[in-house]
Amino acid sequence: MELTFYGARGSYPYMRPDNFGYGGNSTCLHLYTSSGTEFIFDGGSGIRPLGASMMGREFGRGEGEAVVLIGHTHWDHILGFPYFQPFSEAGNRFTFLSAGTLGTRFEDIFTALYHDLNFPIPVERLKASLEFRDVPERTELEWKDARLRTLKLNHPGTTLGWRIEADGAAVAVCTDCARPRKAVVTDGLGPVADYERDLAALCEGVDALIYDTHFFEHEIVGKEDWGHSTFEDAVRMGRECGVREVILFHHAPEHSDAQVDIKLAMARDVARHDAFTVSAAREGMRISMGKVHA
Amino acid sequence: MRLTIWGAFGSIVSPDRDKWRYGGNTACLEITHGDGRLVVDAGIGLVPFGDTLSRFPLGKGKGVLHLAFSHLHWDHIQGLPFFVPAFIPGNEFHFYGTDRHLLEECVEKLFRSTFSPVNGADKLGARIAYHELAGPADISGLAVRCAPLRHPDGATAFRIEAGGRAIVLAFDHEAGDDSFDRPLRELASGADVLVHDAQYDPADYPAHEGWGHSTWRDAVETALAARVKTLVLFHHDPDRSDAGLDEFGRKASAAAAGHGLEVLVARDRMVLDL
Repeated sequence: MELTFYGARGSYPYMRPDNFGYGGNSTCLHLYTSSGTEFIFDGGSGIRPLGASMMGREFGRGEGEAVVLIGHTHWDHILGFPYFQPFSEAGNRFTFLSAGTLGTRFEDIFTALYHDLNFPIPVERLKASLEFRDVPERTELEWKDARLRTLKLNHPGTTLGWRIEADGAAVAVCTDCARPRKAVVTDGLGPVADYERDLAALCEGVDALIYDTHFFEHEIVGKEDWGHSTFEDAVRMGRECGVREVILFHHAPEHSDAQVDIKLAMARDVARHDAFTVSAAREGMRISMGKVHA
Repeated sequence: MRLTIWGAFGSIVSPDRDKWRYGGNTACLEITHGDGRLVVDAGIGLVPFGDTLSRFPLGKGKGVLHLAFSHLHWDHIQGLPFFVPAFIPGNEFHFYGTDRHLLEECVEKLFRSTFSPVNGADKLGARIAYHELAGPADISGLAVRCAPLRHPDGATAFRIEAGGRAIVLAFDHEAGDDSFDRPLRELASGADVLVHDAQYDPADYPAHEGWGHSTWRDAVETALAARVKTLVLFHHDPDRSDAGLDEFGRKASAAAAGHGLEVLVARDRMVLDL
C-alpha cells in the first residue's frame, strides 16, 4: 500500500511563500493498494494537482476507477472537487463513500458545489460516472482487496475517521478531531469513555496514524471547541495505540515552515522514548507499507 | 489613490512552487483613497488582507468594510469564511452586488453548517448589509460606475474614481462580443489603470471559447482602444507558472510598445500608487 500526500494544510488553502516546504494545499491524500485499488481521501485544494497527475495515466483515457472517502464536508475538505479534471472524462468511475453531514446527504453537498451561481459547469455535465454511497459511522466494509472502518470524530458537524487496511498494512486517518476531555463538540458522540476506547481501537497498531495537530498547546486555549488537536495529543494517541509512525497533519494555515519544523522537533522530543517514529505531512510525501503496487 | 492586489489568480487557490513570485491566491483587490476604501471580490486573497488588519479598526470591532462583488463564482467569494474581521463583533460590512438577494443567499451558503463550523451567517460577529449596485454610486468617498461583462451567469466591471484618478476592473470577461466590449471600452475610457482578465494565451483560447475569459491580446486591444495608461493583466490560470506569466508580460508589452501603454502582470500583494 502506498500513501501520498497532496494537501496537508487545515482550515483553508493559502499561498504564502514561507510555507512551500509543507505546502499550502488543504486536505487530500491518495492511497494505492498493491493490486491497484485507488482511494482518494477528501477533496481539499490538493485534489487539483492530484487530478492533474491522474490525467497522465488511465484517468486521462477514461479508464480510471477510484473510491473517494469523505472525512467531512467543511470547505477545506471539499473546495477542490470542481477543479478535479478526471471528473470530466467519460468512462472514469468514482464511488463516494460518505456519511454526509448533519442529516444532509453527501450527494446534495457535492451538487451544491456546482450550483450555477458559483460555478459555470453544472454537475450533470460531468462525464465520469459518479456513484454516491451513504456510509454511516461504525461501518465495516470490504472494498476489493481493502477493508475499511469508520468512526465519528469529535468535530463540529459529522466527521468520520477512517481505518484502511490492505496488503497486510493499516492506515488510520483522524482529522479533524478535538480531544474530548475538554469539550464534546459534536452531537451524538456518546459517552466520552466509549468514544476514546473506540477511537483507540480504530487506530490500534496501524502502520501510519495521520492525526490532527492544528494547534500548539498555547494556541488551543479558548479554542477547545474548534475541533482540533495538538502534537501532544497525536503522540499520546500513537503511544496508546502502539502504532509504527505518527504523521502530524492539518497544519494551521498561519504556521510557516519554520513553525511546522518546530512542531515536528517538539513532537519527536516528546516521543523520544517511544517505539514509533514521528513525521510531519508535507505535499509530495510518499509512504510505502507492506506490499506495494508495481 | 492606491490599488493593492491581494489575489491575482482565478479558478482555485493554487499554492504551487513554480509560481511563488506571482502567487496563487484567488481574486481580491483593495482600492483606497484617503480614508475611503473599497474591496472588490472575496477570493482567498481576502484572507491575507484580513491578516493585516489586526491593529486597525476592522481588527478591533470598530471598522466599516465596503466590499463589491464582480460575480459570485467560487474564486471570487471563497475567502469570506476565513476573513478574521467577519468574526469580530462590532464590525459593519456593506456588500454590493447586482442582485442583493442572490448575494445574501450566497453568503448564507458559505457559512452554512454543511460547509462551515460557524453554523450560519447570523452567527458572525460583523453585521452585514446588502446593497444593489447597478448605476453610479458613491461608496466610501469613491465614485463607482458599472458595466456588464460577458461571463457565464454574468459579471460586472467597475470604474472607481477619486482625486482625479480612475481605476477600472474588468473580470471575469470574455472579449469578442461588441455588445459587451463597447460599453466596457466606454467605461474604461482614459482610465489610469485597467485591470483586465487575461487568463489565456491566444493559442490556448480556441479550446476555452465560451469559458468567459480573455487573452492577454484582448486585454491589450481593449486598453489601447480605451486609451488607458496602465494595463494590469489579471485572473491568471492556476496552471500558469511564473515563467508562463513572465512570457505573457513580455508578449503583451511588445504588443503595446509604441502606443504609450504600460503593461504589468498582476502579482499577489502588488501595490500601485496613483
